[in-house]
Amino acid sequence: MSDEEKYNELRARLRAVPKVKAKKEFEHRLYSRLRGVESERMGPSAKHLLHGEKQRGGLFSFLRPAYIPAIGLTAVVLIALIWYVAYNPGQMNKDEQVSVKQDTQQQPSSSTLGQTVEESAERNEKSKESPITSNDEVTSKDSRGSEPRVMTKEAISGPEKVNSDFNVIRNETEQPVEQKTMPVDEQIIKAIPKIDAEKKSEEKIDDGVRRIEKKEAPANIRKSEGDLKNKEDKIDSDQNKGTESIIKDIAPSIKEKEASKETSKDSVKQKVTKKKKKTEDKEIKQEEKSQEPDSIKKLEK
Amino acid sequence: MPLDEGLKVEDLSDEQLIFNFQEGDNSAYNEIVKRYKDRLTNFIYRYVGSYDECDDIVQDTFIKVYVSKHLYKEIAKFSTWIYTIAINLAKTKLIKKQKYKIFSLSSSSEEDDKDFDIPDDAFLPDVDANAKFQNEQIQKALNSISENYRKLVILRDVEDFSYEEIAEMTGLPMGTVKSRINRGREKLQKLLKNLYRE
Repeated sequence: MSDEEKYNELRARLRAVPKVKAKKEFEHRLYSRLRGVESERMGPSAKHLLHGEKQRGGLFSFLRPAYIPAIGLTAVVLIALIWYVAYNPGQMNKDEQVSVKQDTQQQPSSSTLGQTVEESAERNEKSKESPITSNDEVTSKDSRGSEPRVMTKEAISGPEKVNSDFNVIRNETEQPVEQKTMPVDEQIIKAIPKIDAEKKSEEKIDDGVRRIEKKEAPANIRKSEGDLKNKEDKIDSDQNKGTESIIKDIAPSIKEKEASKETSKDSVKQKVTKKKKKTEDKEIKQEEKSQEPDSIKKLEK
Repeated sequence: MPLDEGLKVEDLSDEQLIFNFQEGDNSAYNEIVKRYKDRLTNFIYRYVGSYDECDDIVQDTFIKVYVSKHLYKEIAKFSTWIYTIAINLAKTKLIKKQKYKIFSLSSSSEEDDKDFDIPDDAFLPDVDANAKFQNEQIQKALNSISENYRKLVILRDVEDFSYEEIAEMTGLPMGTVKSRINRGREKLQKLLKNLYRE
């Protein structure tokens, strides 16, 4: 006898038990609950998830919280690279530009000094031709030499003329002062555009190319630096000469001024001593006056 | 699985309905609810013993089917899948109920005058008084046996599932299922001896 047959009666009774049915409003309740579930699913969190899924396909896929440290690091590295590439070559260029500018700034001053030397030489010649009658005339002529009009005109044309005598070696003893400067000026005019063009090309070209050009540049720059040094030496010597001549011209007037100052000082001293004497005399008289009444009193007694 | 456009929703099998629902056909879900709401209610009522709790459990079962429809694969029958969900939900409910009972007994031991809920028979179909009485006796007997036997006996003798299906639903080996069903039947028979004599 199998188990199924053994419990046939029980099984029949269990099957005969009336079936329980669901409540009438079961479906209505279920669908209302489902609506609630749907709204919860489509709530802020679900909407966020949906948006997230859409955005993950695009650019926002990189903005995951896990990527934040990596993004930060890469940003820092990029900034450092950009700074290194952009700032350091810029600094190098600045150094070069500063050196060139210094040269260009020094050269016009030297030219002006050279021109003042020329002017002083001319004046000396003129003074030889026309004898000096008084110190005033000399001073007035000197002051004319330092007039802004003359200096500005020459100074404007000066830097362009004097800039480019890098490769010229002058013999000062053989040639006069004016003849020395002219050929040098012509060379300077030719050389300046080349330097400017090189600078501009360096500025325009990318940073990577700039470095390559800088590696090539030193040969040219060294030459120019050597020439510049020679030129500076020459300019120094010119300056010394010019200052000597100026000192010669100015020296008498300065001596006169000093003498006049000394005389004025003496006069002031004399005045001061006179005043002192006067005050002393007054004091003595006052003392005498103060002493007189006592003697008179004594005499009366 | 391709959709059968010519067939009505009522003609479709449970598996086809759930596949249609997975593809967004809500009418398939409604049909599933129609087909299983009473079956599940009957099974859960016999298993849990409380109609209100049974209603909640069946509702939760259908909501779970709605939410996790994508989890169903054509490995098992749909009925097995939905009954498994219902059994698991009923189990958790029973565990909670037992915990609550222990707590309430310990806390309200002195409250002997407490009113108990009178069972409502409105959910039962129109049957005569004798049938109602027998129904109550059987339910009492089912509630008195162990939960492990009760579940298996109901699935086998009330819901008419095969041993394989029960083993699949419960996750128990076939031998265990059979032996437990027999033990459950034996216990039930002892309890219902008087009822048989009548």
